Amino acid sequence: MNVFPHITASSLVTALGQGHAANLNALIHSQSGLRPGLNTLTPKLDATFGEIEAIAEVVLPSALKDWHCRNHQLAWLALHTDDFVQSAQAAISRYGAHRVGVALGTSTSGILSTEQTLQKKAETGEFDPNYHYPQTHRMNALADFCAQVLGTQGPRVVISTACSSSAKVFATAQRWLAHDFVDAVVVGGVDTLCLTTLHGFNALGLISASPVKPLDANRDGINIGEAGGFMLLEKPDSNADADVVLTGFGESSDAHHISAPHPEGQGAVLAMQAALRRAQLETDDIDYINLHGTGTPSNDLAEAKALRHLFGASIPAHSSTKGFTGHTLGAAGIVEAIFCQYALTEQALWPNQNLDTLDPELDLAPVRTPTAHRVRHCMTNSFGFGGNNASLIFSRREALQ
Amino acid sequence: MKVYLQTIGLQAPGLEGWEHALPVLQGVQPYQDEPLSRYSPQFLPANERRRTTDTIKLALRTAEDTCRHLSPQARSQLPAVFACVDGDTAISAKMTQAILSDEPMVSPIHFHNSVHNAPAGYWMIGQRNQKAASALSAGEYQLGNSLLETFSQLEEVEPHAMLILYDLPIDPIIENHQPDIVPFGAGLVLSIQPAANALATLEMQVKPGSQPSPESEWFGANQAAQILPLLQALARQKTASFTYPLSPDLHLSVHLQPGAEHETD
Repeated sequence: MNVFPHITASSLVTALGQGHAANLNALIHSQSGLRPGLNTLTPKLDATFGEIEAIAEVVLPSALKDWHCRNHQLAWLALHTDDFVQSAQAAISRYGAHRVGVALGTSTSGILSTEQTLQKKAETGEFDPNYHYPQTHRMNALADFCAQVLGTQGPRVVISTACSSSAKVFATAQRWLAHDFVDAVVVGGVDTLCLTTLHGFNALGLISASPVKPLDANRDGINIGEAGGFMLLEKPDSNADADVVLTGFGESSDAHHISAPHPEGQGAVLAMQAALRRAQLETDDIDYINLHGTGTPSNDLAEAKALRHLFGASIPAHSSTKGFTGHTLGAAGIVEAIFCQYALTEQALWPNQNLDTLDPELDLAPVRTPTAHRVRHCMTNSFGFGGNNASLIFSRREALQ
Repeated sequence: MKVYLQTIGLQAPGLEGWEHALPVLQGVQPYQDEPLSRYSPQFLPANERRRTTDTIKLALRTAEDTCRHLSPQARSQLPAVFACVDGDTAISAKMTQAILSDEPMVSPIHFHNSVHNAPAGYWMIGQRNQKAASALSAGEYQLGNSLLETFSQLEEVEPHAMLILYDLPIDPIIENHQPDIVPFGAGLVLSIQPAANALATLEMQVKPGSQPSPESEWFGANQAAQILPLLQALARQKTASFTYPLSPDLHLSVHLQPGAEHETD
């Protein structure tokens, strides 16, 4: 089942901006999207965020008004970025609607709508008649919404495994393609800011008030960001143009703790090993690793130990891009998959922002400035609560021949 | 595509445990709505056991029932898919209320239990299992997509996987339009390897066209309970076919042949 799906379209909206040009420009010029405080919500907490202000202006068509929530506003925005809707609809024309699947990740779906409804209810005593739980907050809502917007009739599913959600959807999509259930799959993820997640992470002592400092000796927690992104994966014998292919995916569990990573990064090693095996690559084939690199003391240390265990003395070029976007949680997988796509198309490595004093205990040497570099194979890691790990490998198509 | 049903688990009011529920599923005894017995996941350390919620417990007791005949070694090697439409809405209700205050205090335990894959995480911890674990939701297309996800994971080097289907009522704090949902959990271990002790063979096909979901007795709009007619056919050792929607215009057709496979092919 060595089917390497072709990436034939993608789109991305993060705090860095809307679309590939804006995101790429920010990476190339080391411009972070993180800002103190929020404009569109009252966080009730001093923190730094990766907010997307454009979400508030998105108006869904009246036929979709019951689906209105911040998560679907962002999904709509991302689908209508970089001509993604047109690409997906072209795939539907090529293959038929029932041959195009949708596999998406989110951690909290449209829970902000519930927060806002309960706030109103506390003031008025009434349930808001415009609140529609099944179309907004329910965990499958994102897949149903996107399938409806795009007109797909293939299998549709939301994978929700916390911060590995939109990395694991690539595994699901590859398997659907390998089994010939579909000819194309829309994968991706959307997660938007909400107070539940912010104060939940704060209760665990994992929120940094200042801009996140992944791999730094003084790192003190995450910045929460929001993001929406999509990729169109097609069967390899499609005639569509693709420079980048998905070669590897690996999934594993820590079996250690519900919210803390395995201290030696055991699960992370297993996920990376599985991805390499699937891609039929060796450790020294990897040119760049986009780290999970959240900026919490325990995550970065566990990931560093996992890298040392797997790659030994020759760890490939690596960085965390959380200093650009914040931790976009259920959307982190797709954001960093697309940053790997950029590394492969631009032949460049992205810097580890906000690094002042590298933590000597990590024993790493991250990329510090945007760097031109030969990149044939890229790995990206995503780890989540529940000890849920996913590692993906993307490759330049010609590197396979 | 052919898959073998190796073991089965069932945890629902009046149907507590597969063997215990057989006479009801066979139609020999009438269904009686009896609440599920108290349950505590003994395989977890005391500290973690205390933190589990009703949602997590329904998933874990279903997984325990599903694996009751498997050795600890076999349990530790099974990839797992946990399928639940709504997740832990009781926790969502607590957290979304907690953040209304000017100085919100969300319980850290509620928070880490709130992730959709919390039951999967606890299960993998309890079984010392480092294989892949997933947590999904597909709404009205839940059962078809859950079976498809589990089946598609099976391959030569990873021939078995466990699917846990569990759904329970939505907390009224977050949904005032309450569908009629009675808790229900069922688990299947699927394999692509034939075995003499397989409970059944399932022949599955993805087919275009709209098909209604199966009607299930006793559990209202519970999506997981749509597996019940298949379990009833299996309990009665009857060959039967079912359709489970994958989207409004695509479905999974499943043909059940009870018993181990006899023909050679």
